[in-house]
Amino acid sequence: MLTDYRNESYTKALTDVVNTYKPEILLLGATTLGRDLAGAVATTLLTGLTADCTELDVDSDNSLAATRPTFGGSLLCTIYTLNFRPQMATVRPRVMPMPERVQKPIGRVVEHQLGMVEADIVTKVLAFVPDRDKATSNLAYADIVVAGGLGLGSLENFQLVRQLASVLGAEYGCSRPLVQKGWVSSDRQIGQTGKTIRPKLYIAAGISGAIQHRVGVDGADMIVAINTDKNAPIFDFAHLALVTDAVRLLPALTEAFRKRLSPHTRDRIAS
Amino acid sequence: MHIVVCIKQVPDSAQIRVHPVTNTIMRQGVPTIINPYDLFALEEALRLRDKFGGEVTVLTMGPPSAEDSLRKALTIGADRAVLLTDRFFAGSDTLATSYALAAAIRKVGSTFGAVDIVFTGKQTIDGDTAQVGPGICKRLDYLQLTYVSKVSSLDLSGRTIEVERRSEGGVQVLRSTLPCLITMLEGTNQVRRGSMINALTAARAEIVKWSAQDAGIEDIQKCGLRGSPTVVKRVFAPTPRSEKAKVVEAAGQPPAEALIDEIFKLRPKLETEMSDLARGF
Ligand SMILES: Cc1cc2nc3c(=O)[nH]c(=O)nc-3n(C[C@H](O)[C@H](O)[C@H](O)COP(=O)(O)OP(=O)(O)OC[C@H]3O[C@@H](n4cnc5c(N)ncnc54)[C@H](O)[C@@H]3O)c2cc1C
Ligand SMILES: Cc1cc2nc3c(=O)[nH]c(=O)nc-3n(C[C@H](O)[C@H](O)[C@H](O)COP(=O)(O)OP(=O)(O)OC[C@H]3O[C@@H](n4cnc5c(N)ncnc54)[C@H](O)[C@@H]3O)c2cc1C
Repeated sequence: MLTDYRNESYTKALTDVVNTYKPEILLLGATTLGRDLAGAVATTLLTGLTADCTELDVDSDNSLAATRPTFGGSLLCTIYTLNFRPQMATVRPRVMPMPERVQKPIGRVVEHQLGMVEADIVTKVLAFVPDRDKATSNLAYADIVVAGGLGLGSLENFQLVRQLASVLGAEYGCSRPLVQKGWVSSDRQIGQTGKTIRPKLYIAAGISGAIQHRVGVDGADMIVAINTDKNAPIFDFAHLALVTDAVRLLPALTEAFRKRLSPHTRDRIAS
Repeated sequence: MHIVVCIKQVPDSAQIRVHPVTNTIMRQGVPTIINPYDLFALEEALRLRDKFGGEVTVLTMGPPSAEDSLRKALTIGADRAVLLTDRFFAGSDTLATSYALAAAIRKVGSTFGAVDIVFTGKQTIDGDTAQVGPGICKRLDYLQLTYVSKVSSLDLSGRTIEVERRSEGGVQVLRSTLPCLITMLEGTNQVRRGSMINALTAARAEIVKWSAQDAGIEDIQKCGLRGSPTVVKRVFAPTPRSEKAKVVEAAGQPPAEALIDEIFKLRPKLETEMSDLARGF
């Protein structure tokens, strides 16, 4: 009954578990599933729910300080759930580093009976159509990401980003205007209203570094920015800056990486 | 068939400015619009009405000025508009908002005819929580259908509905029953433009205005700031990174190579990791 996600069965299951074990804090991912479920569970439990957090902290008195971007990411706000329990929050995927696997886990797995039969659930799943473009979903988890912005000037020039990504075995992404122009599909958008990424290396070409873009890349270990404007805001948070024309640099960079990294590998053509 | 569409009046985000010194939002003079996501919900509701007959009621909770958005919705084609407005609602979080809206929807049902479907947008562009839809739904004990991209069939006599909804890694095709609450995904339909005739009638139309009491809200303690478990403690600007980017100088070297040298100098482990990755390991 829990194989396919359905709000009814999941809401009942999670609400029952909370009522049995009475946690102080209940966290869910701010994904489509997590947001559908969290809103239903919080209302059923009549408690507070902070949406789409990027930072969590616990004060000395066990209160959860949940921080989320507001107004398109230009400000942050910290929200508490004072007199209600559990304190609930949904957390945006990829905003925190993945912890190392522990050798001796102290948590334990408990089994809890759902106490529901299929006939109790009104909504039926008639079909599930998986997304065709599986590879694209990896952007959020990629170790290396190359992205382009409006500064590239044309869809044709955006191919230079894809070619570099292809040589690096990296994922490619973009800023929002490229999605709005229809040059790149929306699941490639990085930032506040797109994906949050945490790669080891992020290369941004022709991206100005607006705050809404920045919040999606702040977790990158190394940010390299290529921009013709030495005062571009992206240089305020990038680690390395190259003040130059990206359209000219990208092919050279692709070639230089190709030589440097894998002299024996055949080129994998960008599709 | 009776459909209720919940719309929220929001500041036009493209025009919001943050005060550089005090870090507060400068709302003065910022024009307001119907939350853009709600237009897709309204359009879908109008399409169902046009196909199956019935009425579409738009509902908003907000200050008296939210009347503007309701008139806009009437111009687009809604049949009736209800404004829920009361100082008790000020400072509502999503739990308090959904309490008030659910009560008003019950009242809409008892006053203007039983409700079959409630539509909301996916989320708003200001609060941006996506929690009010599920909140209203649970309080009304309706079936919850979120992130819907298409209402594929509706059987009013059999009381069943089929929808396609965005879910993790794909599209779910669901069959459920009425009454239900649908949160509509953006970009799923082409929102119609209001006609001249509609605009003229909308300008003169009477907007139903309800206070908390009019809407049959029993417990005023559950509204507004007092009824809101969440409390915003602090609003602040993101801390700037202390040091600026290091500018790569290509001293007699091609800039691309200078950049790669600099990357591997700062992150030595990257060179082997990237070589592996490039080879497809
Ligand atoms: C509510 C809201 C949500 C948003 N969400 C997002 C989001 O999720 N992601 C996002 O990215 N944006 C988002 N935005 C948009 C954001 O505010 C910026 O408008 C956008 O990021 C700018 O994109 P850009 O850097 O590609 O373009 P621009 O700001 O136009 O910058 C282009 C840059 O390219 C440089 N340039 C020009 N020519 C060259 C060249 N030949 N070589 C190198 N550099 C060159 C220019 O100096 C400039 O810095 C959002 C905005 C709002 C209001
Ligand atoms: C910066 C900021 C951060 C906030 N963070 C939180 C938080 O984390 N948790 C929390 O509980 N509250 C939060 N709030 C309060 C919240 O924004 C309000 O409760 C608001 O009234 C509704 O939430 P929303 O705008 O997020 O709506 P959403 O849940 O995103 O809206 C979904 C849909 O519900 C309908 N809807 C929403 N509001 C109305 C309305 N007033 N009238 C009619 N229909 C409506 C619309 O169809 C809309 O598309 C925050 C507010 C601000 C300003």
